[in-house]
Amino acid sequence: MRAYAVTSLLFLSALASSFAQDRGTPIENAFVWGGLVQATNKSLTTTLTEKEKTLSEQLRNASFNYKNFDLISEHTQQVLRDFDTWLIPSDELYLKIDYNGEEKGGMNLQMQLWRKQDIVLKTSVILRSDSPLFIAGPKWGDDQLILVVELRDDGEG
Amino acid sequence: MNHRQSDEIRISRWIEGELSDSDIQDLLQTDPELHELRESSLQIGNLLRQEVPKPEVPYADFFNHQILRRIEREEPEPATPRIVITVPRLVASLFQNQGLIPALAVVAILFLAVGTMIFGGNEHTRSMVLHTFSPDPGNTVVAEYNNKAGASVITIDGMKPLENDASVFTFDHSSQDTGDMLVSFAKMHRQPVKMARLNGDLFANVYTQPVLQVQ
Repeated sequence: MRAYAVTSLLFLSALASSFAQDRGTPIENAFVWGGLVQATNKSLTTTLTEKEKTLSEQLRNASFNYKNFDLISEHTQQVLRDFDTWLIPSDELYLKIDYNGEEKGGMNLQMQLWRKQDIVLKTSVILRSDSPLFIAGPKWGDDQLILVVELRDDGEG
Repeated sequence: MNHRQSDEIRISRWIEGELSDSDIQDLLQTDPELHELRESSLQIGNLLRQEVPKPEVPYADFFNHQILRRIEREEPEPATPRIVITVPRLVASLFQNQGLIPALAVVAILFLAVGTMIFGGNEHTRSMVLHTFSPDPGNTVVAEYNNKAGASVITIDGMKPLENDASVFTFDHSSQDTGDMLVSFAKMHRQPVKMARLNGDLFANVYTQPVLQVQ
C-alpha cells in the first residue's frame, strides 16, 4: 500500500514538474475547483458543510440515482493563461486544463480527464460561475466516482 | 435500310393511305395481290373499331396530369382589400388607432421576455460542453445540460469499474501550487502527508511520509 502511494505521488510530482519550469501567467480572480465525489446509496458518516450540502443537492438533481454524495477530495488551482493547469484531487481522476480564452461570464477551457496514466476524456467546455461541470466516472463497487469542476473567483475551498 | 425493308414500309404507307397507287406502281406490277392485302387490312381495321368499345384514353403521365388538373382547378382569386394591404398602410392604421400601440408594445415585450426565458435566456450564465470524446473506443460519452441541477453533465460509459474494496488515493491540497512554495501539505486518502519541494530543484527532492503532527 505504502509503495503504491509513493509511486503515485512520484508520478504526480513528475507530472507537476513538467510545468514547474514555466508557471505561465495566473489569471486574476479565476480559479478552478475540482472535487472528487463518491456517489453512494449508503448513509454518510461525515457531516456535510453548507457548500457540500448545496453540491449534494445539485448532484441529486442531476439524476445520478444515488442518495448521498461524499466529497472525498478537492483541489483548487488558479487558472494559468499560457500553460496547463492541473487539478489533482486524486490519481484516480484528475484534470489537465488549458485556458482557451474568455467567454461571457466564464472561460473556454480545454480539458483532459486522466485516470492514473491514461487519458479517458477530452472535452471543450465553457465553464461559468455557479454552473458546475459534473463528470461521471467509473463505478466503485456499488458506488460511483464523480468529478465536479467549478469556476470560482477565489482560491478558497 | 435494305431494299426489302424499304418496300415493306412503302406498302405499309400505301395501305394506310399515305402513298397513292402511282407511288408504288413498281410494287403493284410485281405483286398484284397487294390490292387484296390492302382491302383485308382496311376491313380488319374497321371491324376492330366497330366491335371494340372505345376506351377512355389513359393518362400518359399520371403525375403531369395531376399537376395539370390542380392547375386547372385553381381559379384566380379575386383581389380583395384584405390581401392587398401594404405594410405602410397597416402601420398607418395603427397610428390612427393610437390606443393599440401601447397594448401591442406590452404584448411584444412579454413575448420577447417569455421567448428569452424559454429559448436560452440563461445561455450566458450556464456552463456548456462544446464538444467531447473519449480516446478509448470502448467508452461512450454523453454530454448534456441538466436544467434542474444547473450543471453540465458528462457521462462516460464503459470505464473499467473499481472493485468494491479498491482504494482511491486522494489528495486534499491545503495550499495552492504557485510553483514557489517549499512545502505543500496534502492528505492522501484522508491521511495527512507532506509533499516537499526545494526551490531551484523543484520535485527533485520530493518525498512522502506520514506527517502525524500536520493536519
